Amino acid sequence: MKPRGMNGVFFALADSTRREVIRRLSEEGPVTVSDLARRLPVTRQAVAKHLSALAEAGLISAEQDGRRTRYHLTPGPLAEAMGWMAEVGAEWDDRLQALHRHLQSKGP
Amino acid sequence: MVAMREGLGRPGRVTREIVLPAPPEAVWESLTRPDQLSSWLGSGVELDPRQGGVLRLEKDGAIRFGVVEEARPFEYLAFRWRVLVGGPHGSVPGPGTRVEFFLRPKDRGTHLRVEETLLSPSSLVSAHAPAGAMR
Repeated sequence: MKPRGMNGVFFALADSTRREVIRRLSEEGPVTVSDLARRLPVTRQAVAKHLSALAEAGLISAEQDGRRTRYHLTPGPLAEAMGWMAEVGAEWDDRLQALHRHLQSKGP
Repeated sequence: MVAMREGLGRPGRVTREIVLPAPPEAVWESLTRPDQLSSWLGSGVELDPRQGGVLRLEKDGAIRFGVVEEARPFEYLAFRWRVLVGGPHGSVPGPGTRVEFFLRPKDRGTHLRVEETLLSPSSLVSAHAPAGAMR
C-alpha cells in the first residue's frame, strides 16, 4: 500500500527534490515535466518519478493541455498535514505553559 | 515565553522544548501522577505509569486513551494515544500518535523535550480528513 493522506504527504515531502518541485508549483503554477527538468539539477526521468510520487500522495494532479501534460498543486492533503502540525504544536505550547505554571505554583 | 519551537524537523513529528523550574524528579511526578496531570494535561486523568499501563483523560469534551510504551523514571516516558473527537455521527478516533518526553537536568531545573509522532499509515484515521484522502 502506498502511503496516503497525511503520512503520504510527509513521505512525499521527505525528499528535497520533491519539496523543490512543490515550491516551484506553488510559485509558478502548472508546469510540465520538461519545464521542471530544465530548472532542476536532476534528469527528466527523475523529475517524472518525483511527479508520480507526489501525484500518488494526492499533492499534485495532472491536466492535459493539448499534447502536453501539466502538473498543478492540489492543496487539500498539504493543508491537512500543515493543519495537523499546527494543531498538535499549539496543543503542546498550551500544555507546556500549563505545566510550567503548575511547577511554579508548587514552589521549590 | 520559555517554550521553544524547532523547525519543521522530521515530517510527521511535532517537537517542543522547555526549561522547567523544578528538578527532573519533580517534573517526573508532574508527568506521571494523575493528581498532578489533572492540573495541566486534562481532567479526570487515569494513568498507570508502567509499560502497558493505561492512560485516560478528558479535555474540552474530548476523551483521550493511551498505553504506556516505556517509562524510565526521571529520564524518559513514552506512550501512544488517540483522541476521540465528538462529531455529528458520534465519536470518531483521531490519528494515533506516539508521545515521548525526554528529561535532563539543566542548571537547577529540567530541560524537557516533547515529541509527538504520527504512527504508521494504517493507524492513521483522521477525523477531519476529506473522504478519499484516507484509504
